[in-house]
Order: sequence, then structure tokens, then C-alpha cells
Amino acid sequence: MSDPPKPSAEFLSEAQEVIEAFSRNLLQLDAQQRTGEYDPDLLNAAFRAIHSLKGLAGLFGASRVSALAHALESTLDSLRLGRLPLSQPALDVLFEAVEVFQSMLAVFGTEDAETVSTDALLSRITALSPDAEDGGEGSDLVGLDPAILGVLTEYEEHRLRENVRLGRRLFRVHAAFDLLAIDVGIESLKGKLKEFGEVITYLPSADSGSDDRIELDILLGSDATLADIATGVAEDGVRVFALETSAAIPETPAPATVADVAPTPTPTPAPVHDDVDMVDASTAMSLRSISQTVRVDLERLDVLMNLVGELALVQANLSGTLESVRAIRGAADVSRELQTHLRTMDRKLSLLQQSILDVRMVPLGQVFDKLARVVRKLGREAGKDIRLVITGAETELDKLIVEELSDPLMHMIRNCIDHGIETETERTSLGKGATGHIELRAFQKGNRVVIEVEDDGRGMDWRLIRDKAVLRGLIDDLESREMSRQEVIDLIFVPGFSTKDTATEVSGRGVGMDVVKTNIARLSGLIDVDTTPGRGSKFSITLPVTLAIIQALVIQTAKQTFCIPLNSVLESIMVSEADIETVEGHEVVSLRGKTLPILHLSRIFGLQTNYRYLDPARIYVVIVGLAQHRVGIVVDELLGQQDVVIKPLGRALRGVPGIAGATELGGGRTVLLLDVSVLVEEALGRSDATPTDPTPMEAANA
Amino acid sequence: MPERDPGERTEDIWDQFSPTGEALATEEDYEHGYARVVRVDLQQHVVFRVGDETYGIPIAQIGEISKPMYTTPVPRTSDFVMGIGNVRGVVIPIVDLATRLRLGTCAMAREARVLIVRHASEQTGLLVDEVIGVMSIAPENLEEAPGALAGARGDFIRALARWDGRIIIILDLGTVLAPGDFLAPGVGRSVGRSGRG
Repeated sequence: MSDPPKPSAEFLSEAQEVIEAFSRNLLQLDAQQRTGEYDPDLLNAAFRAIHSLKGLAGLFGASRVSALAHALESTLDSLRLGRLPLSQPALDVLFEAVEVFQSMLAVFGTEDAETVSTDALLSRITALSPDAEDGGEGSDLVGLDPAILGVLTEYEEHRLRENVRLGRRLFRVHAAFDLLAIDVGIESLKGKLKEFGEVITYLPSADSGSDDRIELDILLGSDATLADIATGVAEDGVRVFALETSAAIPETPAPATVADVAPTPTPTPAPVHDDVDMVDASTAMSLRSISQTVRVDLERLDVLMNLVGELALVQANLSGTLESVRAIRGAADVSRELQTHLRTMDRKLSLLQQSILDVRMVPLGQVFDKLARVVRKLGREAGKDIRLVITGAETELDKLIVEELSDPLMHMIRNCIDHGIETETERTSLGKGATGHIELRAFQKGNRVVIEVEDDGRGMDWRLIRDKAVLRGLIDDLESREMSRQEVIDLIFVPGFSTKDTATEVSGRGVGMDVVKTNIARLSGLIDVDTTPGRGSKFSITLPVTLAIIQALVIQTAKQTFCIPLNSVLESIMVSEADIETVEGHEVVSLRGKTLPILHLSRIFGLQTNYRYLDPARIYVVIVGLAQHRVGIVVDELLGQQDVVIKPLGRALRGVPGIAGATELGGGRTVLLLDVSVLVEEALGRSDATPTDPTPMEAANA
Repeated sequence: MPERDPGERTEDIWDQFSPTGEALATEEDYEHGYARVVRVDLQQHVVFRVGDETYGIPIAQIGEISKPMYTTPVPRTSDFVMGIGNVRGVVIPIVDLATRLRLGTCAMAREARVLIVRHASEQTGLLVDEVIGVMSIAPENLEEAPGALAGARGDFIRALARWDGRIIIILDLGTVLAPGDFLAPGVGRSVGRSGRG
């Protein structure tokens, strides 16, 4: 019984989804709780999620997950019934539960399954539970017809009291629906009413006139006036009445115009939408499947991708056959037919390839949710009140990139909390407002995705960074004086740099931004930083949408073909040999007033011993960029650009500096893809800080 | 860049060598309770020629045998790395085994083949001059690599076997395909990784 039937991937992925949904609910609740009022539907959704998880875990014999879910379910039930106030400590426990669930799932089905301890959490959950029943919430509902009160479930009654407590007025909305269109009608009405307030319950009306119509009374709690609601709903057969309760009146007396006190509805046997029904419905769902999604191993997608590649080869062979068929006399009709089919096949093949790539795309929200939990946890640990604002969570990126992003982003967020955001007292004395803000933005820009992490903290003082770098021996005094402001700030990406002297639990031990930069570079991404002392910092990460397929510039040099990822190509220019000058033995060209080191692939790759320009008057230079650094690559020919599927070179050749991978360019020919970041670093290291972006000061010195 | 014959067709190793294959009991035999008298400790090896020497690799390590394919040279790699080739959509390094074993270079003759070997869950193509066949070797016919064959080449030899009056060198793929040797001397993590500052 305690043993699961099999370490079920199905269980894991479904449970994971439920927990993610739960976590999202909590995050929303957390944000709303801070402003005071929260949407009870969210609490309901959280309750349902845990209820489903309990059922799911029970089904798969995950007894410990099930037990924890059971304990949580009771807590959430108390929360939604108002027996327990939704407080930050309560949310702490709920967030902790998310973490515990996830670590339980991580080891589920392994021998370590018992190592995740739930005792501490369980006791905290128990500690939360309300002491006994506090005997109801007082009789503040006098004035409301006992006939209504009599049919409300405990939850509905709680919501009713909540509405009264918040000083909302109560309304009875009487609606009549055609029997055939009732589903649509209720949904549309519900949507309209939700704009005004909370729908507490639906009661079937007793005074129904005819057989083919159903009449309902909807109990609504709202701040709006009767007239507003009536005009807002404005639907045939819908009438709105105000209900008066003695508790509601003292708060905000109803305007005199709303004198139309509703006739109380006659008692009804049972409410239409019962609490129990709702729970049962979700249980039934969990037996089926909670979501319509399928989780697929990335490796299996790669297999599909390779199969498509092979199909393309088969198609190429068929084209060859077509030629032979053409040569046969009297087979013109057949060959034409064959050609038509081949063309269709070609189109379908590219569609297939695109579809497989689309499957790899996932929304960034997956990572952002994780980060939101981190912000909350670390913020509370550091005693800083921090609000995280997320936009663009729906932006999609290749699954592989999203996975690899979570660590660097986590690090950046930690830096924001640890170094960026000031303490509450500091902020108040600066007149900044006690709550710190971190903004996490994602958006697509052309064929790249930009992710920005911005805080409104203390920012970075470039002078401090410079002094620190000198202290750490990263640069010497002389260098420090020659560096531009941006160059100094870029020093935070150098290994061994950390501004905070005390390493905290949260971040920092000198490994930090350099790791972030390396990780981002591995994803062919760029990272930039923009900071204003006292105002905050903004980190922008620019990433390709996918690593599996990229746009590449196909070039030829020394009779060999290479691909350059188009996302690192800034422009291509044409120069003549006379434009190439030499600075301390290194070749440079000038472009719009900036000096640009150039490199020859033939030379650094040793492709040809005595390389000559094809045409000294027309030399193509492809300008590539890595963050602020720009380098020109000399090429003989630009062969055009195309989408290419990147293939790894295997373990033995992975370490070749300057080569990022290989790709097929049709005809079974494999072409190498350049690793621009390494080439740029090589070029700059070799030419030893040839200024690519001279500051006015440097320009004056020169 | 050396142009090689396109390898359109991959030959099925079992078909090719079935005349020389050993009679081993098949799973069917076992299922029907029929035990053929065979030695189960015989090890099948693919035997091939590189230069004037005869080499062998256990058949389990060989995925397929293909005609030489296009290879794209990869800069900054050792001389024995011919480049990368495309085998069924997967890019794999192709090694000139003659160069690797310091026997000159493989002559690109009609008999030349590429053995696609699988080692440490990575595929690599080995260009050889000629594939001779498959043979079974009994453990007693294998001898440890003699210590006299000193030097780096000795490291490539796992054992020596006698077959048909010839000496066959059984290769140790672990050393032949040591990942560290693939990069050209002097090219490594240190080159170009210094960055700035």
C-alpha cells in the first residue's frame, strides 16, 4: 500500500503542475493580502489544487504527499471559511509547503523518498489551526431574511459576513433564463456581476412562471449603487434589488434613491451551487486528467528532429530519382506528378520541423514563479519589504534556455535583494518609500528575447567599483584611471569581484556576476548593466529564442564555409586594403570614428598559410559584437543567411575554442558554426584592450 | 579540404560477415531447450587493415560500417582528426586511424571504410584502409600487450591476438579516442580564455 505501483512519471508531472498552479495562487494571494483585500476565488482555487493533489497522491500511493496535502487542506478550508485569518505567517507555511512538496516529488520513487522530513511543517500547520470553533461570527446579519441564511453553506455564509464586514451592500439579482441557453446566460451574467463585486451564491427562485424558463436569485455583495449595477447588467429578464442589513447601513447608508427593498425570496430546498458539489467535481477531474498537456522528454524531441533531418535526405534522394525518371522517354507525366508530390513533401517537411521546434518553447512564467517565491522568502529573511512586479511571463523561449536561466536569474535577484534594495529605515530616510521594488520584465524583440531585472535600490557607484577592483588587484591604478565609467561597471562581471565584504547567506562570496555572465554567454546571450547611484540598477539579458535553430550568416573564407550566428552580427561593411591600419602590430579599421580590431579566420584557424584577399579593393568585414565589445571578421564572401539547426560536436571536439557547433547546409554538407564570444575575447585579449569605445577622455589623451 | 566519395549506402555488417560468422546459440535455441555445443567465451572482433598492420575491435563497440563520407575539417584539432561527418543526422568526429597510429595516412582507395564506433556513449568514425572480416577469438589466444612495445603507441594496444597465422592488434578505444588528444597541441582552455584584465 505504501509502495507506489511504479515511479510514475505521470504522477510526477501532474503533481508538479498542480503544485505550480497552487504556487501561482499563493503568489497572487500574497500580493493581494499586502494591499488588504484578497479575491476569495484564489483561496478557493488553492484549496481545490491541494484537494486534487491529495486525491492524486492517494491514487499513486504517495502516502506522505497525501498526508501533507490532507493537513494543508484543512488549513486552507479554515482560511477560506474565515476561521483563520490569511496572514503573512500563514502564507509562510503555505509557501514552505510548496518547497516541501517539490523536494518530495524530486525524490519520489527513490530510496531517498523518506529523507524529506515533513514533521516540522506538519507541526507548523497544526500550530496554525484555529483553536476550536469560536462559535460563529456574531449576529451581524440581522435584517437579512433568515430564509436566505438558512440555505447558505458555511462557506457562503462566511463570504456573506465578509462582504458585510467590508461595508459592501448586498443585492439580489433576479434573473430568468431560457432553459436551453441557461449555461451561457449564467456565465455572461456572472461575468458582468463580478465587475461590481462578489457573487455569493445562486438560489433558484420559487416564483418561476413557466416551464421552459428557470429563474434564479443571485446574491451579490458590491460597493456600487443599485442604479450602477442595474445599468451595468442591462439584460432582458434581469432585475436588481437592494437588500438591507442592519450591519451594512451604519457603514455606508444606502442612498435614498435605492428605496426599492426587495421582497424576500421564499425558502428553497437547496442552493443550486453547493460547496460539496464543487469539491466533488474537482475530484472527478483528478481521476481523468488535470490538464490537457503532455510532458515530453527533450531527448525524444531531438530524436524527432534528427528523423526530420533524415527525411530531408530521403527527399533529396528522391529528387535524384526524379532526374533519372525525367531521362526516361515517355515518362513525362509520371515525372511531373512525382515533382508535384516532392514539392508538397518539401513544404510539409519544413512545417514539421517548425512544429517540433514550437513544442520546445515554454513560457518564461515557469522560471518567474520560482523567482517570485525566492523574492518573498529572501525579502522576509532580510527583513526588507520587497514587491516583485512581473511582466511578460508569457514570453516563450526554448525549454533548454529556460532551464539554464533559472540559476543566473536567481543570482541576479539575490543580488538585488542583498546589495540593491536598502533596508526599510534607509529607504525611508532617503524618502524612497519603505517598499522596495524589483521588476522582472520579459519581451520579444525581433528574434531575440530580452529579460530585464530592475530594482529601485541604491544602484552602483562606479567609483566604489573602481576602488574595489584596484584593491582586489583586478586592475592596477593606472588602468583604473584610463577606464570609462561603463568599463568600470563591467568589472562586476570579472571573476573574484564582490562589493559586499561580508558574505551573507543570501549572496556573495566573490562568485557572482561572473558566473551569471558565463552562464548567459553559454546560451549565446548578452548581458548589459545600467545603473544610477541612488536610483537603482537594471540588468538586461538578451537571448536567442531557441538554441536548436538559429539564423546564421553563411560566409566563406580561405575556401572554407562557416556560419556566424546572426544574433551576434551587427553589420557587414566593405573596406579596401588601404583602410586597414596597424596599431601596435594589430590590424584595425575605423568605423564611424571608432577603432575596430579585425581578425582573419584563415590566420587564427590556420586554414591557409599565405592568405591573400580575393580582391584587395573589396574586403568584406562582418562586425560582430559581444556586449560592448566589437570586432570585425574578415571574410571572402557572404553567401547569405538562413535558418540552421545547431548540432553539438560531441565530447571530443566540444572544447575547440571558437567553434560552437555544426550545422547542415543541405547536400549533406556539414558546416561549422563560429563561437563569436570566444573569438571576440581572443581578439581583444590578443590586441590587449584596443579601445573599441573610446571615452572622450581617452580620445583627448590619444 | 580533401573531398571524399559520398557514402550513400551503409552496408549491413551482419550480412557482410555472415559467411565468416561463428555458430553461436541463438536465443531461440535456448528457448527450445536445444543447447548447441559452442564456446560462449569466444569474442567476435571486426578485423581491419591500417597500412600494413592488422587490427581488431570487439564487434559490440561497432555500430555500423560505412563508406567514407564528406568530412568538414575542424580547425584547432590534432592532425588525426579529419573533421566532422554527418551520420544519419548526427554530427560525429571522423578520425584517420593511420595518422592516429602514426602509420602515415589512410589511402583513400576503394576498400577504405569508416567504422562507426561507440565509446563512452559517444560515436566516432574511424577511417581504415580495408575491412577484412569478423573473427572469433578465444581468450587463450589473446595475450597482454607486450611491454616491449613501449611508447605512446603501446598505450593504444589492449591485447594481441593470433589468427590465421597473423598477429592482430586489438585496439584500446579508451586511449585511441582520449578526448584530450583531439585538440591540437597548445590549443586548450587556456588559449583565448584569458579575456581582459
